[in-house]
Amino acid sequence: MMQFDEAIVEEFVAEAKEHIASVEGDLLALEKMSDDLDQDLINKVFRAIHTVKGSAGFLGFIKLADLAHVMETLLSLIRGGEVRPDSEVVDPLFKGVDMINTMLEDIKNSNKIPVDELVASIEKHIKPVSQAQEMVTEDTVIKFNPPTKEKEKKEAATPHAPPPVGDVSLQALLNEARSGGQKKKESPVSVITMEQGEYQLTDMIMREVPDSCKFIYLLRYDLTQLASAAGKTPTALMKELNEAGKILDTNIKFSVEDLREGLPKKPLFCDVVYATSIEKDLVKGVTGLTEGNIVELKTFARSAPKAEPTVKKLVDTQPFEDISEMTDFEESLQEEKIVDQFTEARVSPVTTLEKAPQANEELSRDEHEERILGIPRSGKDQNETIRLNVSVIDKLMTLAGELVLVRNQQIRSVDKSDPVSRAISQRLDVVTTEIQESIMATRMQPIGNIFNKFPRVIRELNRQLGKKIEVDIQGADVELDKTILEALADPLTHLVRNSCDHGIETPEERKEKGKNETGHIQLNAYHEGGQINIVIKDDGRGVSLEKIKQKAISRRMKTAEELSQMTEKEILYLTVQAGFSTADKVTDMSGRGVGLDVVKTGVEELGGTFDIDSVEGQGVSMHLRLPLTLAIIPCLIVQMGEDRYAIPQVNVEELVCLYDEDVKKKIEIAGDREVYRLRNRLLSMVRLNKVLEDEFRSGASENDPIVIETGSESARMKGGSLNFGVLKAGGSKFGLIIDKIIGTEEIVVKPMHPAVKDIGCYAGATVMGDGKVALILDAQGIARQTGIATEGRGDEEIEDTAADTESDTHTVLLFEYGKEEQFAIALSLIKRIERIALKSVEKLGGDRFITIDGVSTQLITLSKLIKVSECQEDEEMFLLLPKHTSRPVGILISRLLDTEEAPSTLNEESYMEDGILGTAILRNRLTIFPDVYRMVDMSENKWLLDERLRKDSMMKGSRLPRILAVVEDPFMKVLVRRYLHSEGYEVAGASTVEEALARVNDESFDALVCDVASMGQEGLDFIMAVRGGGRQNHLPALALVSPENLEKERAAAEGAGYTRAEIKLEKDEFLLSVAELLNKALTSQSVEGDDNE
Amino acid sequence: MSKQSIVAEVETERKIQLCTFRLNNRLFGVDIQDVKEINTEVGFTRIFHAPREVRGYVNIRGQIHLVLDLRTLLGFAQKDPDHESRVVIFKQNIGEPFGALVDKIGDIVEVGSEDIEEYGAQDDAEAAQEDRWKNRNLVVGVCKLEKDLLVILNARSFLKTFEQK
Repeated sequence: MMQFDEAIVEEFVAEAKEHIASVEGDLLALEKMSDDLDQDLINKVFRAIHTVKGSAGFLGFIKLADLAHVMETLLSLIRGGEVRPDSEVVDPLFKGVDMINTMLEDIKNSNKIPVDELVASIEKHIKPVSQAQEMVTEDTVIKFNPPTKEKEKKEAATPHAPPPVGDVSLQALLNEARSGGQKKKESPVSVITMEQGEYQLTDMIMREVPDSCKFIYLLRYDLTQLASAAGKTPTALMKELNEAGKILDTNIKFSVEDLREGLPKKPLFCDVVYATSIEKDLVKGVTGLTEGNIVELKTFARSAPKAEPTVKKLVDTQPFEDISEMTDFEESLQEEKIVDQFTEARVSPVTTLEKAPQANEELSRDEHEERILGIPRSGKDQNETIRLNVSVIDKLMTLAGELVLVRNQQIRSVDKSDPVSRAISQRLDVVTTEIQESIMATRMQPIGNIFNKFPRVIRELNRQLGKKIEVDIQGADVELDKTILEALADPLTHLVRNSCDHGIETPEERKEKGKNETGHIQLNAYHEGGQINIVIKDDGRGVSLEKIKQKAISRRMKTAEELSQMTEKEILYLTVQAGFSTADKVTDMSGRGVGLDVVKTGVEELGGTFDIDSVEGQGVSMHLRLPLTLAIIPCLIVQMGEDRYAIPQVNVEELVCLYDEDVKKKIEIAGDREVYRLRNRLLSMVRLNKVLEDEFRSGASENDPIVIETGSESARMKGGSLNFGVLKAGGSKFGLIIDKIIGTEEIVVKPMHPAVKDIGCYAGATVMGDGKVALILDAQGIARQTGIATEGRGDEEIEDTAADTESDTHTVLLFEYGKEEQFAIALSLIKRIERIALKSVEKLGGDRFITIDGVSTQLITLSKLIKVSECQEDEEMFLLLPKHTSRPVGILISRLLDTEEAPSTLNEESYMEDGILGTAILRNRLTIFPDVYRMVDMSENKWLLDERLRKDSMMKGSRLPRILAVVEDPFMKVLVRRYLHSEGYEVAGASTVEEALARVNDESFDALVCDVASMGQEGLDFIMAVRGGGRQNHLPALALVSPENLEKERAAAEGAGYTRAEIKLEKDEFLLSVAELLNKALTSQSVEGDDNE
Repeated sequence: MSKQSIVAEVETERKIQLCTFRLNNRLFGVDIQDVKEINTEVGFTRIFHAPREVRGYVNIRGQIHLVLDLRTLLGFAQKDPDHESRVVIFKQNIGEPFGALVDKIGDIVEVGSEDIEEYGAQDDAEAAQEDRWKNRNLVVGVCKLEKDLLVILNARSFLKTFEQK
């Protein structure tokens, strides 16, 4: 077995991979343009394969060379226009490319891989043409045809004596072979007569001939002999030959049998087509070959150089000036391009030296020698790239990071009053920044490295799935850190496959829907906001929300009721939740969302975000945002005690600072931890000092009682304020209480020392500007350590289940309608806010309607119902959709301001009219609280109350009827109380069932009202308890139920013992019912009274 | 490096140079070949939840080093650094960048291989420690100097000691 230098083989593999990588994309492009071929492109492919073939042949990777050879042949046919590169033809080429890749992966064993079948499948496309060629004279040449049978026989017959003996001259051999059966027609391109053998010099080869060379020889080497006698490896030979000329082509001949026994001890002939400026006599000396093994294929009739002994001189003195002598050559070349190139050469010989067509990149490693010798190389590859070990770059990266730190320290210590040192410092600053950026740039790789795989992937999928999908790539040159890029390859492939598999419909389906049969997937990468954005968009069927809902219910992730409260976006987001789609992967589910959670997690691990958007029937768009690099990240620097810590910005959602009273009041205890109510969500609070100083909670055994830390006790409450950051980590969110926020800084991340890397709460360390080390906190780790992550979402929603019963404030939404007034509506009454376009509003009678969620919704115009300023209505307005309305209505508003805490007790004196609950001063403005439900009624114009009935009930009792309202929600309580008050009843409130029962026991009432809609079973239990005994067991009781489940809840309520059930906040019905109930009760009481008497 | 290897080395070279330092008023030494530098920086960044032996991080010319408290490692009581305290920084081949906090740095001592003896406890209190040191492969041997007894430590075992815990 021939021994090759490992390094050379490695280099070969690396280079071959590069070539092959480009081939794939080019083949795809060729397939597309099948009619109007881009010659440059096909030449590029051709050259790449050719180079691989040449190098592989030399290094003894025979199978690889064989394969590349047939591919090359087929490509040459394509180039000549004999074969159209349609998918049938390109397919085997792709397979060939794949096979070459496989072989390159394990190059040492590449000769064991069977390629015959593949070779045959490629040859299938060559054969018909070759046969046709025998009939017609074509302007095409098949270069280096495999040896004909006759020739093989001949060779086999030749005694395997060491070849360079001269008695069997190659020329004779070749001539014999030719006359023996070679019928190939002469090609007009090839000016070499057939006397030199069956080797035809194609224009391809001719193009590679450097201008300096005047001779082309066919050299026949015996590699075995060369290795044993001269101790020369083929590589060494190659190098040697390339010093004095250029190897145009090589071909190794041997029979298949030889290989099975390892590489032959028998002569292994290697033919080299060699271009040089050395004359034949000298060639003998240079190559050490005998006369018979050197065949002159072509001599260019250029002015012969003076016979100089050294090659170097020969080349140096290479005359270009003689135009007339070039003509022969020019005439001999019929292909225009070549003429062009040589014309150019005449005009400007110097530039030609740079531009000389030379594609054989296998020589690049000999660049150095070539330079010395002055042999021209193509300008294309010069100095463009340099192969480096990543560790070198990593090291540079570290050093650059350190330089940044030194710079920071220097800036701090520099004497700013001294202009000289200040200037130096500034320059150091600039240079450092540039160095850092440049080194970062070395790690950057274009995202095209991933993107460009997709056309191929999609092509395969098209065939498998019978779909027509085209991929549209933009921003392939956007660069990303190598680490990120590598980690991104799989998620992106996943997403694209997903789009093909499930997103894009079959052509038939698309046609039916009136879409273009061809589906499109857009891949777009761009910079924005210091991040890389990648958007994958398809125009397929989109995600079916219904199916997600079904799936969510069947997987018990959400109940139907929960789903009904969720926005479309929230439902869509279910698809990226872990466990959404696991076992029955691609089933009835529209398929989207398979493993999307994996993608999302992957992207988040890289410090990015993942977003999904879908319009049913129109496609899905997925948006990935990624940091440019992982090595330097923006961080929030915080202080805890004496130590500083860095928190990566990606984890920080917002910063909150509480002052004075709020510190004590707003942080509450829920279960075993502190919570803060942030915009109506409970946020688990974590104290950083506790995280750091305490032992981790290692299970339930930890009996660490929560200490409510009050302002006086703790140093971090100094000045009566408390800072915390809202951190998000994976799926959970929590507040991290810290002493002080210092600011943001770009820091260089260093990994934790192996001895301490198992500590969960640090992500690494960094050196700060003052030279001190700061630890980087790992939000996810902290969440895990403190048990937040395992509890699921740290920010449980607390809507409708407010824990504090004594809260005297509630959160309201501040908004404007007209220019003058500020309005507020309790958040708990708002279902959601919709952005609407006025042009989609329809008018019906005096009212306006708009379709929302497929339901016609009436618009409530505030200025029509209450005396407030008119609004200049814009094209785009907001529609506030209240909860629990009997029919779909929306309040038209012009501007959303903010949310704010508002007192539950409103001022009812200063400004009152029908439809207003009251006013309050919020943010220094008089704020009107509209009565949403009253407005719903007012807008309905059926405000006809049976006044008489109410008055009756009032009159019958000598005292005011006393009603117990059992309502949990503080705002609701106020509302119910107000309604009842307005009717002249005396109202007692209770927030819990216990409280209510106590009051029923201790006090007397005339009726009970209970908010069953929000209290649920508790409300039902309450009435059963009341009915179960006690002196007031017969009290009339009214249940308030929700309109959504009216019938069901009404039945349940009446079953439990309520006298009646009315829709919550249907003010009129409610009051009417109360009146009726009281009436009845009074009547029956009096009847009872009568009976008793 | 085990005792045998050091001894073997010493036998061929005859002499070995030791960088000595004091801990709890006793003299210790490590092979000077393992030492990169002695640093005076004792402002460490605490690492909560790290093993007891870890004193913290220190930045030495842009590179973050882990500092071990050699007193804790050897079973002595912890002591806050003072003006005499030094950090012995070890070479990269001993382990990921780290150093050891010592009470006071001493001279460089050259000893011959024949002077290095097996470590034996001097009193009962040390007997307990002896096991600890031996088990963890911390001590290579002892050497009787004119005034002191020099305990030769194996720097390579420092990190391993608590990584295994």
